[in-house]
Amino acid sequence: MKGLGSVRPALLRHSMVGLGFGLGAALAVWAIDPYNPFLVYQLSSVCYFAIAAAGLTVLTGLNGQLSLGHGALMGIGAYTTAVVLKGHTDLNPALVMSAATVVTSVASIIVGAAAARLRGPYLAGATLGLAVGLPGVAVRFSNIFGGDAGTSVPALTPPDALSSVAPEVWLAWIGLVPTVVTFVVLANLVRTRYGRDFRAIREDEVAAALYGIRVARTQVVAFVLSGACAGLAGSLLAYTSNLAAPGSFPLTLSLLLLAAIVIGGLGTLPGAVWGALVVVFVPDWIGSVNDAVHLPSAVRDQLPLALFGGVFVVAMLAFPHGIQGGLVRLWRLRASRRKAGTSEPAIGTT
Amino acid sequence: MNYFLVLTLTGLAAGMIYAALALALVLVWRATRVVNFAQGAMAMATTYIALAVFQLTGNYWFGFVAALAAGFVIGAVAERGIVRWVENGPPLNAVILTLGLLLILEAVVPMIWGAQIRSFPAPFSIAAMQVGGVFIPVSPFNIFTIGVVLLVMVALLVLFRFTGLGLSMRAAAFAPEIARLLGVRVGRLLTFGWGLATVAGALAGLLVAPTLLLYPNNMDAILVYGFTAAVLGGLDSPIGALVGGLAMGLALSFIGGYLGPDLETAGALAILIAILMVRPQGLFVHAAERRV
Amino acid sequence: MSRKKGRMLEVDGLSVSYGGVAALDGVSLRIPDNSITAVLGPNGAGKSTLIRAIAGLVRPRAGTVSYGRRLLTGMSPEAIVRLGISMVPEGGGIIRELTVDENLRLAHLWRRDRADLRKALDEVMALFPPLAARRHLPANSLSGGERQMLAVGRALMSRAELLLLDEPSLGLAPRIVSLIMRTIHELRGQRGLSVLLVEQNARSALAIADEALLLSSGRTVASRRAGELAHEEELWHAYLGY
Repeated sequence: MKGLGSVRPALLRHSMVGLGFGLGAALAVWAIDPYNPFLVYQLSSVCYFAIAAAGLTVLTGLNGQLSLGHGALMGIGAYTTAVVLKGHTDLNPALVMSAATVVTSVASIIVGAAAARLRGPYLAGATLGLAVGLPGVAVRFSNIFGGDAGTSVPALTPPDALSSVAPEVWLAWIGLVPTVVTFVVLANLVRTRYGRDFRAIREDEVAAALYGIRVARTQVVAFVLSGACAGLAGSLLAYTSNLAAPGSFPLTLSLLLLAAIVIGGLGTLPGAVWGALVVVFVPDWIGSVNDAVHLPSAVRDQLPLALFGGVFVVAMLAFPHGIQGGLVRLWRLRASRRKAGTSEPAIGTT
Repeated sequence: MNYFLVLTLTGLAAGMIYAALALALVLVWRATRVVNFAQGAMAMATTYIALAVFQLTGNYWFGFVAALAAGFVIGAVAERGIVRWVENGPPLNAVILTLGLLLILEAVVPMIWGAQIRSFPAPFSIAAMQVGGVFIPVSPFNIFTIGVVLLVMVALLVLFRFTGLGLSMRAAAFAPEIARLLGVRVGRLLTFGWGLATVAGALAGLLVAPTLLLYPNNMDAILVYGFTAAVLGGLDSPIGALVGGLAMGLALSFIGGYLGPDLETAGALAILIAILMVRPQGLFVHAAERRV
Repeated sequence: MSRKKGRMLEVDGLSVSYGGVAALDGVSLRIPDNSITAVLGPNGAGKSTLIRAIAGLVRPRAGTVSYGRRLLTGMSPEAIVRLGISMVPEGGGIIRELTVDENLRLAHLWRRDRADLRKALDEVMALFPPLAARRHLPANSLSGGERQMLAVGRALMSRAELLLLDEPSLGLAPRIVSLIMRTIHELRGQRGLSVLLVEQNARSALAIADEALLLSSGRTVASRRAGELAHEEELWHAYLGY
């Protein structure tokens, strides 16, 4: 863990840079076409993917716990949002998102307590069960959750003072707030004792315990923290799609989150942003390429997923540090070139 | 006939299918200490291959054999081409790789065959039998299912217990380095083990499809059931996979029958977590060895 | 049994490092046909690394190993066994989950010769009668001495011409140690085997060895006739501490 001191501010800085980059790019497009609802919708998608991926990367990348259930936890957040809004359609979104985060956190305590006793493949299998099983629960209790069709979520409308802002744009603005909050909280939290404990447990559980780290408790904390992010992301997803339905939380969603953090760079918060951007914008890009080549629709629909799967595998084999790792490497290479006589930079691996 | 008995018999038949998938997971775990989360997706893919061959030839059995053969190839290629590269790395990486494989398979299959739900043929009737006017809640296909999975189990038992190949495979699983010093070509056996496992998985896919239909993620839930069954049996024991599969089949049949079919997966999850909390080493393993 | 006579193991300038730390640094040795060479040295001297590098378990950083005319460097352990070199790892390396019989058969499988398998099994049982009595029991039911017999017997099953033994006396009672050493000595005489014997128990090893090598911190500090080294007690004291 040497060089941690220099990594810490970098982590925060990079996450802000990454976030700023994505938002800046989108804002630039807004300026050109403020009423491009699809783009605005995508920006909201980037926000909730980034939040959920940030939570997952802390859990999987830093703490070494693999969860395939974060898509389902997002579902809990989304359904909480839908159920809370059922009676009170104009409830303050901040309140609703907080409620979704709290409810998902409570659910995560239960899953996390079980998870803390599980290792590697067992944890992955248990959370896989969560991902596959939870939509069924929503279908079974259809009087509350609306069955297969799901429950609708009222669209966000800007307050009267900002009535000139289009609802989609307002939604995107609302999406930015929890995203920035999440990243600032996480970026700071990973610098605290908890962040250090997360890493210590990932490296060597037995040694961590010998150093006096309460392994089980810390693992539950990591899981709940990451589950809270998923819940918040799920709430934002519900606002974005105006719906909480079982079909929105398939196993594929959990796998996409995992793909996002692997492609972005496992264990890095900026990597979560890169991953979210890739996961949201690449399908669109493939769509536009397709307009020129005219692939059969079956191929076009599935190409993004296949591509993510492929990139995911290749990244795992060849680029275990993902996009963020590659950027850091480039950055250091440039920095060391600038300083004449500096030898090959050491690539920071933990 | 008694509803309880109906659920018991259908549960046992379904349990045999879960046992086949659990067996696939166990064989891979024994060989490489990896849980192959793509096992269900691989079985889904081989079942599509079976359907294509069936439609081409009009003969169910050609499709059946094609699926098993394709299973062997897919499993072997996955081990040699992908998993081999991370075998000595952190276990997390191998698991993540199998998930990437799952994503690829569930995307590529609908590219080729479309995402719509398809019916899949059964070699024997899937309707319940009537013997002398008495309704028996078991179909000829159920009997075929039970028979063919048992056959595979016995064949594997013979392979592992009584052949040199099986002895080498066990040695490679227990102590790979020692086995290599004794001239066992461990690398080839791992590839073979993955191939064999995926044949068992392909069998599960073929047996699931006539009743649960065929679509790109039709095996997701079965993977959870199979995994739970494998964990129940200790992940290391083929016999444990069989018993675990049957136990899961019964439990889910009762949950589905009495509480509602949508809760089956959630029920499996509850069972899985309960087992992992109470007896994480499984019910059939005496000395569990944890690899840290 | 057809034996190609006159194959010699030659290790030339072998260096091995683990993560940048040198475990073996330019060690050379020759084991002529039908001879016993003892490699002595304290813990961490690189003895086990030497034997593991010859068997193909670790890749050397520099240097070569050859047997007869074949270059072993870069070959896999399973290929090296097929050339007639058999290694017994420290502690014997028996597979506890398998029976005694299965452990023995395993070592012969690659030869694909059922008739010879039976013959080889009978020979090992005759050499180590205690194994015959426990033939179908799990190997983890054996005592320490029996395990070492199984390990040596298993190495013989592959019809090896060169045995690499890593501390066969470790943790065994003196009586068992002398039995094992006597057996090794007899095997050399009866079957014309060559043996590389890594030991901390210098006295027992030198009693049966022809040549001896003293390692310390990965380097050769002495290379003599075993009989000569046996008399250089001050050298042992300096390096072995007794």
